[in-house]
Amino acid sequence: MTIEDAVDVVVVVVDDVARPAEGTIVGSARAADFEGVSQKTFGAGFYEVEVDPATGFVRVIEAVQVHDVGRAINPMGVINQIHGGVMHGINKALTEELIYDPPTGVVVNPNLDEYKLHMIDGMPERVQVDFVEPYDVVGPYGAKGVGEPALLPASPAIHAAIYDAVGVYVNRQPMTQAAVLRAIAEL
Amino acid sequence: MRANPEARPIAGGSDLLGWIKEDVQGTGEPRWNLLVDIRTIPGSDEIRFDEADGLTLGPLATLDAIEHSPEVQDRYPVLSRAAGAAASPNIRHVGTIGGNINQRPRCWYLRNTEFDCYKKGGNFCFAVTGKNEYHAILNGELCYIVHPSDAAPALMALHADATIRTADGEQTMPFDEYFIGPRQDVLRENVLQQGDLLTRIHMPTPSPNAGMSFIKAQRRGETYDFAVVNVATVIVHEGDQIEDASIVLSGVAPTPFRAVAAEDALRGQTVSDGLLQQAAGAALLRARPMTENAYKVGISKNLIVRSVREAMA
Repeated sequence: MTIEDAVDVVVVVVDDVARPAEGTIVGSARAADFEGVSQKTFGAGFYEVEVDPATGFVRVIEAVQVHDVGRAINPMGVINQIHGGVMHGINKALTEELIYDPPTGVVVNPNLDEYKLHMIDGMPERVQVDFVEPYDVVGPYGAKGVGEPALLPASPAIHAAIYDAVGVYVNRQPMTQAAVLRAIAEL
Repeated sequence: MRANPEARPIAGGSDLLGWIKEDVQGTGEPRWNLLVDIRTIPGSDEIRFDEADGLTLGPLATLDAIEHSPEVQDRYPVLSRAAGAAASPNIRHVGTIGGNINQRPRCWYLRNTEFDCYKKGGNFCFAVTGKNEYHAILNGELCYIVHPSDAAPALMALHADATIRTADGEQTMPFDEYFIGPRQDVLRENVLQQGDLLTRIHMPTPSPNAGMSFIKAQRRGETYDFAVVNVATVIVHEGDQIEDASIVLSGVAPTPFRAVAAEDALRGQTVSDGLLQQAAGAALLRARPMTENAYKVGISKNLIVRSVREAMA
């Protein structure tokens, strides 16, 4: 997947959304005309993974992610936010989990030793991110948001990538070695 | 330290300080209130190789020094790899080989003040009824911890000896006898009693035909994590013909686990896929997984096969 292909996917989605009529005055987030209109943000993520069937270990080797962010007020901030979302999403998909002891309800991993976050080597070797800027009629100065949306594509894309690699959907998150091997064994 | 039951030796401190910070204590585990710095003992960090005598390590040699020692890299690659697989570069610079061998288990019930488990003098193992995805599949009794060391299986695979100093003087034993299971004493993981010290590690020169491999499966990438399963393998071979095999796993049992059945199955045989599968199966035959850790049986078998292949490559 090249970044151009990914941009095309997002643009096609964005183009389906109604645009303000020619000559509409926009630019205020509080304009009464837009009451009842919700802001829609779009994005697409494309992930490639390697699965080691001997250990169940999943490594994300490439990530391409593009978001419709409305007008990018601080483009560098947007790019950084998407990079952060990629990393956060990979952790969410593969390692992050608060674990409770069932009989007592005590959290058994209340520290960064047992609550696993990836280190820098968990970041894919190739990460490409971009955004498209359709003017938004609701948001301030045409902007939308990119804080939360940047996190979303990674998990489902990694689920699908693992399916593509080993032929089985892992139906839980995070997809730890135990979960991946169990899913392969049930195949 | 013998006179004070609350005294503890400290060298790198990378495990002990965390242990103190987590406030792990109970009727069987005192709150350490006196730390004795043993780093000033002269010569205790030596790394000495002699073709005739083998390799001698002081217990305070850092993991980083062992990893990068040219003799270790050249003659004992399994040990170099194992030392380099532990923790992060910062910790390897202060963490010592003795500390790595003697570090306390990572069990999340043991290290949580809410649970008074067997290892702290209590009378229950919470992993049995709770979350045991990372606990023992072999030799668990009473307590189901796994041994956390990366270096220990490599030392056992190299047939290393431990010299310890006790109240009765010096004693040398193979590492196979150094680690003890929970049935023998649930409060400790090795033979050291209060006040005893590990003073020397020694291993013979490996055969020129020895191939070695160290593989560590962990929960994330290649950095800074304790092993889910790791395998240290030394195979003496002539082409495809296996003369001797030494295979030790960590992360599966309360002590580093020597896969005796696999070693016996491989010794004197010609390597083949069928033989490796059979040997790996034999090694895990007595595995008794808990509710959530059966996946470790598969990982262990696969890593045994992979590591023998790698050692013979």
